Amino acid sequence: MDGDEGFRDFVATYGAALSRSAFLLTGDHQLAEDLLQTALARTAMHWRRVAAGNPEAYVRRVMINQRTSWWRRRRYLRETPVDAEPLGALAANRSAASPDPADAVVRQLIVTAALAQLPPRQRAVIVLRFLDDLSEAATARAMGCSVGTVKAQAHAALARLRTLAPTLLADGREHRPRPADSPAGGGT
Amino acid sequence: MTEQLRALLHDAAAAVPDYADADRALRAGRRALRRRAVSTAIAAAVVVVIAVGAASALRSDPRGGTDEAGPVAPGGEPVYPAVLAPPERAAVLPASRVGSAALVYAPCARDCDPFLVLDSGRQYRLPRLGSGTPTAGYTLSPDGRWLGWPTESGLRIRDLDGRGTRDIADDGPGRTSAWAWSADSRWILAVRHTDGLAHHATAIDVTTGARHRADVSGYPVGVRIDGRLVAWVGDLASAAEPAAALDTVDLSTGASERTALDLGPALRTGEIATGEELQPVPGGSLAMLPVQAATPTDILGPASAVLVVDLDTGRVVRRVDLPPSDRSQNTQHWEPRSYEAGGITLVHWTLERTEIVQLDPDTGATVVHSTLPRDSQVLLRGTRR
Repeated sequence: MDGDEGFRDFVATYGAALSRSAFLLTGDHQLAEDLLQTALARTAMHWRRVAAGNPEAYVRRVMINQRTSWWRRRRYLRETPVDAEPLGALAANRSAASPDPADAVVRQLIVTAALAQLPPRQRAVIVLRFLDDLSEAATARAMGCSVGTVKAQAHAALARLRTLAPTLLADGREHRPRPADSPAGGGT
Repeated sequence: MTEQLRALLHDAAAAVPDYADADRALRAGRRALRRRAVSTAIAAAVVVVIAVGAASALRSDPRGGTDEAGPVAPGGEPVYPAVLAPPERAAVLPASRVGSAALVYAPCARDCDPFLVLDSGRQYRLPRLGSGTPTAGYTLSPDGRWLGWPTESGLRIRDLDGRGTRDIADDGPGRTSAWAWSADSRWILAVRHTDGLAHHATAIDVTTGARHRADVSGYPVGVRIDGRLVAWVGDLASAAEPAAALDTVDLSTGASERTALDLGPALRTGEIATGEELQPVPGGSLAMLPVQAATPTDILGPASAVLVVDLDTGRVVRRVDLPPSDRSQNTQHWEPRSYEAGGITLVHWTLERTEIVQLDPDTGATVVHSTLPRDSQVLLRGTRR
């Protein structure tokens, strides 16, 4: 396989960012690793061609296709849909003002659980737009759809997330501890 | 809300470990290539047995012969053998005149040699140009006369009906590769690209060696019979957002003319068109634009139709629906490759075989021209892949 060093350089540069995307696409560390490694193996097979274009976008596209394919086959998916009620209760019980380190863990659980309830394309739009910070056009390219579809999917996904995690995502009610809010933040 | 969500997502992903393992991916990639090669070899062996039988039956058919027929002069329609399989012993392509070619194919997806198939039926083994698809890198002119391939320093175009060659040297970083032919086979468009955005284009008149170079914006997709470059402007076009345009660029002067494409009425809901697969239609003023179907669960759908676009007016002259591909199980699918005088040439992939099929755009009738082993890779005249 030509260009092994180029491929290794690419993985060293983008591996961490792609890992984060893979995790939020699947919500599961094992699945995320499988997803990313599958995408990287396919990329390695086509590296000579892929390297001439945008390898990072290529890997993201393979991950989204693969994730959707898994979702369609279901049998591969180990993640369990989370009932909306327990999720809501979890969010409601979270103390917004608490600096408890467990708060961050709870927030992470709520976010990943809410993402798990989105259909794959809505989930992909959320990850590409708001984690990877891709533009609508770049998201459309990564997903192989139109910008209009991206807008529609994002709108639906945000509405769903707003329902699933209202205390985290409702306008004006969200609170994230900033450094100055924490005991070690140097606040006066 | 979006800023809050962005922050929450970054928080949630902050502690995610780096799963990426390049060496494991390289090993997995190699294993996959080997597995594919073995399964293809078995399938190819089966097809060879079938081919031997078919060849016996076709002995009186001139397309079945491989050695007796003399060189065929370029200019006619490609002649596809009814059954295509690698000959037991295939010579390498000689430097002498061999006549026009119908196609380049490889009997597998990876790890096998490609073959040049002449209109006389004779096959020559070609060297593989890399570790990717065996036919990748080659290009064949629409009249079957010129065969091109990348070299260490650029691109070489060889006259199969003579002994002449044309060389296009790399004139900077990045690789120069063949991107398109004019409908009359006079011009080839070669592009050197370095970062996927900058395109350094060269149009060469293969009959005289005259060439024009320029850096172009947009995505080069074709070359007109007068040597002007055609570039796709914009991104994906869909029924909801049908805006697209073509720039026609005179590489000798840099003069550019933009033609808006009116694709909206011809695209159906969920269909997407990009200019990457634009193919010239004989005559040169029209081009074939494949359309892909996308569904909420089918991110990259198969081709559902082709549009025939007037390059001067941007008007869609006609829409031709393709036979349906199997989107749920992916047991078979169709790819439009070229528009020839006799109709639209498609490659049909099934679990058992690969076929070269011609579709009559008026009646929708299909005729199988050639049957190849499963997973065969096919490069037809004048096409980019």
